Amino acid sequence: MSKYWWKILSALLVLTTLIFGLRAPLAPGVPMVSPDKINNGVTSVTITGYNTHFTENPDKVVVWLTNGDATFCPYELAVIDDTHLRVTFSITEKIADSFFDLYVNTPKDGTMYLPSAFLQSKLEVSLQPDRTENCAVNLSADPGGFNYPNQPILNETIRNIFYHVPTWFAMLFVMSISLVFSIMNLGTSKTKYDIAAESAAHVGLLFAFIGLATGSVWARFTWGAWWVSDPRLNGAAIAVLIYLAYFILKSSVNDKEKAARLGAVYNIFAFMMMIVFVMVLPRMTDSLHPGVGGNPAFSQYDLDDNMRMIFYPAVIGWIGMAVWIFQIKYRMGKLKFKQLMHEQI
Amino acid sequence: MLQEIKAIISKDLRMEWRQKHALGSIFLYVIASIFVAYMGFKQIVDVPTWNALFWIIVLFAAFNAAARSFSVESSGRRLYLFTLARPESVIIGKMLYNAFLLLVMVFASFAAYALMLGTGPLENANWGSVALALTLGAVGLGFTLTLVSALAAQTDNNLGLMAVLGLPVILPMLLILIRFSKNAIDGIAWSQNGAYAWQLLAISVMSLGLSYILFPYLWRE
Repeated sequence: MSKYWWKILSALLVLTTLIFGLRAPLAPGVPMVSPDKINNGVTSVTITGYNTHFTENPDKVVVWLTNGDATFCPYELAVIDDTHLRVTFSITEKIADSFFDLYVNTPKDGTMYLPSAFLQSKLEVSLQPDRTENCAVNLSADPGGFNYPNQPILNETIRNIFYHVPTWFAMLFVMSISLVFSIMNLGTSKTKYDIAAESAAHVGLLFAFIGLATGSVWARFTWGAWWVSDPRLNGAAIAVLIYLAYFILKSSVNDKEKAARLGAVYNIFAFMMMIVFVMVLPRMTDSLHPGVGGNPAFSQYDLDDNMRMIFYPAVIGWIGMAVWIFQIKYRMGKLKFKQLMHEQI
Repeated sequence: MLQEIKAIISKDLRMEWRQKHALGSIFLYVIASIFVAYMGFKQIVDVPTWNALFWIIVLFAAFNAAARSFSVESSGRRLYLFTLARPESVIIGKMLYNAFLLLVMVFASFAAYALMLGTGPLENANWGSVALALTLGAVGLGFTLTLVSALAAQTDNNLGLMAVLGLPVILPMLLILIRFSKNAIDGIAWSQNGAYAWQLLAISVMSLGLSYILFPYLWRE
């Protein structure tokens, strides 16, 4: 029992993160407005909510726009259903900024926010805007509760953080195990280290494929393409290529000891080259990927405390699972090797 | 050790010079590829295409050149080389020799390429940076591919494995190289572009260090 505690722990962690990660609701939000322009004069717009409850307490729904320091409130507001509002604004003043941010507040959902919701059309943008007062009053407090932030563009896919990111962490972890065993193999020429290095590389490749698949689906929904040319993505592709080449190299040499030596040399060489590329270069160039270039990492604004509560256990759980799979694979490899030796004798 | 490296370089140079067909085949390979590109494109005006195609041609020529560095030695001669010199000297010597060979090849093929596919994209070029890109590219390719060639030479399927093993390792460097050289051809100032040069240099130095450490294990039979 005492030996297996970490396996049970990681299985439980993965299970909990699967349940909570997929079951907990997304915070209410206002992801869509149509049309997305505010004209000079009167503009009627439809605001579409997500997980919102507009019909409970329709009198207490407050909608306002911000532009610079100024706030604009609608002169007409109608609740259509739980997720739709019809709002009419009348704006003719000079404004400070080309974009309006949208806020919606209800007692049940708290304050919801859509940045740059509306583009101004035919209004005058000026350094001395006409209005600076605040008309948003009688706001209800945030109700709280366990939910994930409703980010524009990300929406429901924000849950992928729990699966996509830990997968890459797990991959880097087992790839490092593979590297360490390769170094040990070069130092001692013991077959068991070679088996361990190869097993770890196998598991790492598996996680790399999972990471590519989850990332690709995510990219499709947020950036609009299955694959974009980006330093971080290119690095991931190169990592996969390197380990595929490693397996080809090992299988192309018949002498086991020689294959182990060649494989270890290539593993160390290729890993170092990859690390430089994956770790160093993306930080120096522009990228769509979070945590890279001009984009802030998740920790800065996407990852709130609720997400952290699932994210960190998910990282530990998935790394534990990877190590567990690696262990099984390693033992299988050792048994196979023993069998082979037996047959030869 | 310096003596040994010098001896290996001069041995390789002399060998190359005496077997002219080997040296000639590399240059013919580059010229033929450039000519194929010329038949396909006639003239390339677009800088990114011009630049990328040049480096792709150079890449495959470099693979061809580096692949020979260990497989040309018969196993008997390899063993003899070993009794004479330390493995560290062998790999450093081979790396420097390959870098030199590629340096000559890259500059020659750049001239031929510009002649065939048009000098239009080079009008605004920052020539110092272009020369640096060609130098760093040749040195980086030569250094990195030498160890890969040593690996591939130990297997039966030398050329095929060379490409499989070499491409993933060389890709990071190639991406930086293509970007650096494109900026140089576009005439972007050193202050904007210098970081790429340092990265290329760092990768080359790392490749040198890793080869120095790892190569002795490849020889131990």
